[in-house]
Amino acid sequence: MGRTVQSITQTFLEEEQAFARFRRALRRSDQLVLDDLFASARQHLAAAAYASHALPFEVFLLSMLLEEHKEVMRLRQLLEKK
Amino acid sequence: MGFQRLEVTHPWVEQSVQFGQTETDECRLPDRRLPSPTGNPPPPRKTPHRGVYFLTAWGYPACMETLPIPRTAGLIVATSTHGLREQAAQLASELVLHGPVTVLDGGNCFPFYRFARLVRAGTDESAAATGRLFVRRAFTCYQMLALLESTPSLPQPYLVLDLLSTFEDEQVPAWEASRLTDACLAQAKRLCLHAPVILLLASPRHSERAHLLERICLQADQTFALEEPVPTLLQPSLF
Repeated sequence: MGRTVQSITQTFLEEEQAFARFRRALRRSDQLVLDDLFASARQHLAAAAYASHALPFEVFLLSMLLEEHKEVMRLRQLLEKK
Repeated sequence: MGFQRLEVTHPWVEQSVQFGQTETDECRLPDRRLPSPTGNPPPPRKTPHRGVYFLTAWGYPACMETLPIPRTAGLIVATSTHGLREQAAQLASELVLHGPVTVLDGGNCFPFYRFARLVRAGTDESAAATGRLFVRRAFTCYQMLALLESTPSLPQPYLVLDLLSTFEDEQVPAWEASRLTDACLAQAKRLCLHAPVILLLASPRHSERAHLLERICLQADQTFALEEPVPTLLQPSLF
């Protein structure tokens, strides 16, 4: 039996490749930020695979948002401690 | 069954014909192009099948840039040398917007993610639209025949992808592949009595089994060959 769809890692790499021209047009500093965003989405590939969403890029975006919110919460806690 | 209106809205074609007509019989498409300023009749159309067609039969409109849409119940064969994934996704995404579609995938090649994107671009109710897609897969030529045999003949389009992919198995003798092809064709003919059956076929990988494709094309009501797009030469940018 073959796969019904390609793996989530393949899909992620395809989506990342689709933004290659966008990345190239960015400034170097922004390129690093974009890479960081994709790296944060990569951390949740297992959850994205389990979600089996028809539009996986939406899950990748949510993963990026999740990591961003974690960072916001961490900084907020730091501020509250000080 | 009475004729239903078929609207052809692509500017290349600019025709309006009745559903049920085909260009291969006496019902020639009316040539409504304007005469040239010199008064000479326009040259005959060389590619009458090109264009985007909207089929209103059974309430299944569809459009596609590379393949015309079936105008009537029948067997339509499209062959391609460069893969059929994009065509399959486009065709299925247009058809599911208006009714159920059954995809019989013989090559395990239906691009679901691409299909989902196209549906999302076509409608806000993508979940309902994707729910109208029924996909059945076969991994051997025997399963392909069983799949076709077990498919009920319903008035809804059938999309058969890469039918001959599993027939090129070296462990299946040529005579067996030939027999199974005939049986599959008989089942496709049964399905196409009430609905369009579209066979999207890739070019044969082995020349020994190329006759199977020719046999299918001979049985088809309409046959299309999708040409490989010619790459355009672009001046590389400086930056």
